[in-house]
Amino acid sequence: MNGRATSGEPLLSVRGLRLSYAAERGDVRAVDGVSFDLQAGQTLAIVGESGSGKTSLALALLRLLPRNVALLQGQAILNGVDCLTLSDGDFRDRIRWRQISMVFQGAAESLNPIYKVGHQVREVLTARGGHSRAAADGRAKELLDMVRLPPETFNRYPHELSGGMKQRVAVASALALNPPLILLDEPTSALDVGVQAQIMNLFKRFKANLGVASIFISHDIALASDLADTIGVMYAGRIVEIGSTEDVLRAPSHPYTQKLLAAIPRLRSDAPLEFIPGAPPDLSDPPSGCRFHPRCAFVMERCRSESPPDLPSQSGSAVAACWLLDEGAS
Amino acid sequence: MRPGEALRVVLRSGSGRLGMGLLAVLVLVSVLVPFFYPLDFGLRFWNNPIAWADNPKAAPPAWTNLLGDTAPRHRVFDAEQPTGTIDAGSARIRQFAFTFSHQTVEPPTFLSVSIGAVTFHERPPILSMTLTRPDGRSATLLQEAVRGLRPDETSPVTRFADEPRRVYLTGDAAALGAAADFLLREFDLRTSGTELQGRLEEVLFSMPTGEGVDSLAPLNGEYTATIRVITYDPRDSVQSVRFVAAGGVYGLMGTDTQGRDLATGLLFGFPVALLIGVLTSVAATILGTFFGILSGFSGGRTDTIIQRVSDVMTNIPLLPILIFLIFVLGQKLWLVMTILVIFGWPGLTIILRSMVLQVRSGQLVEATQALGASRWRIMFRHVFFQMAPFIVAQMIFFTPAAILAEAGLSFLGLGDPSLPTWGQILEQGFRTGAIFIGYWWWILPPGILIVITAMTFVLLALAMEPVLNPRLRERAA
Amino acid sequence: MALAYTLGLRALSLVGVLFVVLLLVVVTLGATGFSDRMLTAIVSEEMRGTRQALAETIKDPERLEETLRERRAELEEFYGLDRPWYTRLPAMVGRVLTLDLGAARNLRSFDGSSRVTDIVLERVPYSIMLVTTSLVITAVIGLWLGAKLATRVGTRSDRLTSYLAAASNALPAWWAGILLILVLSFQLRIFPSGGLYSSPPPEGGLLRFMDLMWHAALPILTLVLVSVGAWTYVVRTMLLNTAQEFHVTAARARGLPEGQVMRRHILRVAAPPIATNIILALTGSIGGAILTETVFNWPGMGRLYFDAITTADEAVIVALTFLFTLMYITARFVLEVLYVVLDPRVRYTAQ
Ligand SMILES: Nc1ncnc2c1ncn2[C@@H]1O[C@H](COP(=O)(O)OP(=O)(O)OP(=O)(O)O)[C@@H](O)[C@H]1O
Ligand SMILES: [Mg+2]
Repeated sequence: MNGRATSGEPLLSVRGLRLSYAAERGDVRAVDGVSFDLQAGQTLAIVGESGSGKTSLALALLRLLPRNVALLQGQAILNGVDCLTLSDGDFRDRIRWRQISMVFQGAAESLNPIYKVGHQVREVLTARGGHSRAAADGRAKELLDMVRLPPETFNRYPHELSGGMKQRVAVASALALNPPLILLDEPTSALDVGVQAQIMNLFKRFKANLGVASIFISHDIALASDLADTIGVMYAGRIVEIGSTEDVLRAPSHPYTQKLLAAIPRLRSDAPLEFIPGAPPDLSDPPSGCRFHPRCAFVMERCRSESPPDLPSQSGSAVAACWLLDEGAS
Repeated sequence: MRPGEALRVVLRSGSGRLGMGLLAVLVLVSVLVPFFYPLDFGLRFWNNPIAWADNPKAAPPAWTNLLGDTAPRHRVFDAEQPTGTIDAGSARIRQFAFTFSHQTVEPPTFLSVSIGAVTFHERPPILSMTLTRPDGRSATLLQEAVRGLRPDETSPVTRFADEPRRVYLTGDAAALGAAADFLLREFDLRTSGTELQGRLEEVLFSMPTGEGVDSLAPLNGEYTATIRVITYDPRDSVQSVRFVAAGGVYGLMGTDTQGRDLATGLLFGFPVALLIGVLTSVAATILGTFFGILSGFSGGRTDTIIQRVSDVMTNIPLLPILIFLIFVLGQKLWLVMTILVIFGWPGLTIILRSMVLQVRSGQLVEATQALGASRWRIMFRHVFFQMAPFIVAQMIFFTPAAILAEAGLSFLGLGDPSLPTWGQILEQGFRTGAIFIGYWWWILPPGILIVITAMTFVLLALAMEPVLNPRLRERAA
Repeated sequence: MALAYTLGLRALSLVGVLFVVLLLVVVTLGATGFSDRMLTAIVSEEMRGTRQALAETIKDPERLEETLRERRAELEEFYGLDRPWYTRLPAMVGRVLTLDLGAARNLRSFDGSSRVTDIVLERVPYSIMLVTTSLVITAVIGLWLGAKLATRVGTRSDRLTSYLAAASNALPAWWAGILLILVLSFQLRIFPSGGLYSSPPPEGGLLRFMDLMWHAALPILTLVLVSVGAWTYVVRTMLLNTAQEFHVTAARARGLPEGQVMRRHILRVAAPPIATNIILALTGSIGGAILTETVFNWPGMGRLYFDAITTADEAVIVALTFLFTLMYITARFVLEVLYVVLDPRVRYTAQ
């Protein structure tokens, strides 16, 4: 699926990405044929409700696969290199954290409780960045400063920091090796609104000053639109609509996107999507045809049997996987 | 989870089935034993050497003969009626003849004769014992008169009523002298009773093959021990006669150096071990549960006190204190159990308190409280039942600890002498040096029984794990 | 500062434990009349010396007896034998604390002294040697094996170890020791069945040391056998729990070398909970040491306990009970310090 048609080689080009987990009730198809392009320095937001496969998508790109992965398929070409076919060693040496780093969902738990946070940031620099310890110390302090943490944070233990501070440490650590791409997996969802805004400002600054591209994962389409150049809406392992932020917000084509947007004014809590009737599908046994059809207000006969292809929306750049668009064309 | 369901989960695992099977055996034996044993077994029998006099000392189990050893069997002949009676004038000779086949190289380990309750009116009866060998030769090893009327006694008199007259021929000077006479008379071998000290059976159950008593060949075949009681009044009587040709092996489990039948002691150990384990762990668990729930629920001063006390208690090294207290206060089993309970509950209390705190913050309890249910009702209906499987598991886990603590204490020599336990049997063996001489049958069985009993509960605790941890339950299913 | 405060609190609470034990001992002794007997024994001991000394100077037997009686009364007053036992509690606590418990009834130190202090203190190094050596061996094996098993959860060797670890809960040290003696000493005659040195002990430092090691082998093996299973299991489980924590995934995500992840992000993080478990296991290992020494006739404090029980030597038993508690509490404190040093999270939280 092509997002906005832009000139030049994209930084990251994902094609037909599939990831399933083996589970007792059958394979869970968490990512089921996802494609998109991301230009250098730009931000792609992936939005979708809980369980739609957003984290799985990010983990697949970073090849941080849980033990029970049953299938990993497709292409993820970063600067001309297919990340998914590299050997484990090569991927770790060349791509991981150097080219793609990540701020995890629940970043607070991503810190080792035993070491001072400064040392944890330093650790990446010495182990991966070839810094001497002294140089690494200097750079780590610089990074902490970049995320607006006071210098004494360097010698603090994780349990001495607030959630927002820990989040900043995680961001600093992700920036350590100057990667061109950062995956931000719901980096603010555990924080209160004020802190959330501060962190979002940080991201905006990095985007502008450092030219870092990012994939911003969120279930909050309003928040995502604040940062993103492109928005991809994910539903049940698939991207159902993708396009420039403006186009998607202004004229959403997919009924699911419309529902998401309709929820914004009322959305002030972490569980905003309950109003969409029905529950997200079980990914080990997804509905036939369009996966959204059991919950769709505009469901038609063919929605139940045929899976819709990506169709251009009226608004120009965006594409959406919905038969309604086909209807409109004919 | 309901008890039946929990039981099914436990039985699903191999360790659970094995544990349940072993437990069933333990319980069965423990229930049966008290029917066959007197309750004062420890004092009246086990620790009373007279009760075991006629057993071979430190004899391995009888079945070891199957492994190629050639120790003689242990033979005990009891009779109340004579096998023959001869009347000679006013005298009546009661004959008790016991015939046995001797087929091993080793002679019997000792010979003894016991005569119980002899009643006489005038002349005291005469007792004798003659051993007749397969070659027809015979030796009279015992010949003595029952002690006559003392001036303060009036006829009739009964002697040896409380305790039979027992002659340990092996160590009896007269018997040794008789054996020396026998050798001189039959084989022209000149020895003396003192020279034969400790060799009575050896010479009686063999043929000399050369000069002196050092070259002997075993003589196998039918031997007859004839015990005669000569009385001089028709009203005189003798109640019982016993002859023992002691074996080199004994019973199912052998004997210790006092001749005690180890099988008996080991069997008696079953109910005692189970009693120690179960009573102690049940009591400790009840206390621990009570204080744990109380502490978690009450908060405030009560909570602080209970926490302080249990903190101190869990920090005290148990065995030294146990040794000290039992040494000073006396070797009583109930005392051991009490101390184990006193030091056993705080561990559970600490865990349960934190569980209660968790549960208490849960919504269910709050909701019920809002509905006006009383504190204690909530405590028991909701909190207790939620934690019940955990509490049961802890109880099972504590059981082997109690059994092993008692065993360790007994092993140090602080066992309760009125109740023989496996630990005590082992301790006596150890103290006698049984391991260094290789009396394995004295050392191995009690230890193995202790380990198996403890193991039973460990297995059950292991099988309880899925009950406690639902994640494991799924995997087991 | 805060660290010192935390540790100070722990120390205080352990001293409290020691005090409770002391009180328990002293009250038990007093209430059962044991302390009377012990003090009388001390007085009699001193009187023997006095009699000898006085007999030199006072020749008149009647005056001698008179003086001795006075002296005895003085001593009895000094020791408080003329007052009820509870008034002597503080003094008695002091006596136990300083192991000033007079003379042993039958037991003697290696060079023949009958002072309880001499008898008991000379045993301490032997016990410490046995316990620490076996502890180090157990720790090394347990850590190594536990780390190994943590990487192959669910395999046959892993399950076997779990079962063996559970089974070792049912295997008392003394029984393991007896089995080892029966097999390795009595049957195969590879190791001596007990004692410290062969008799006569070999000459020469190295030979003597080798002989000591040869004698220590079975007791150490016993202590290792009964505890290594549980250690391995604890290490394995703690490592597994830690390995499942998210920060480990995060460390891997950063592309850190696997060795570094294992060392810094799993082993190091699992160290505090492992230490906790060891602290909890300490009580058991003290009991194990007492019984193991008894089985192997190893002249440490544990064997002395056995001998003191056999000869009903009260003073020695009191001294040992106190000393064991003291050592246990010291060891425990060392581990608590270790724990606090290992885990920054508890460093500043006052209990
Ligand atoms: N290791 C795993 N094994 C099996 N199923 C998994 C695993 N990880 C995730 N899943 C399933 O895959 C689906 C997608 O999960 P994922 O974590 O990618 O969703 P998400 O969009 O990030 O949700 P959230 O917003 O809650 O973080 C879910 O149905 C989840 O249950
Ligand atoms: Mg997610």
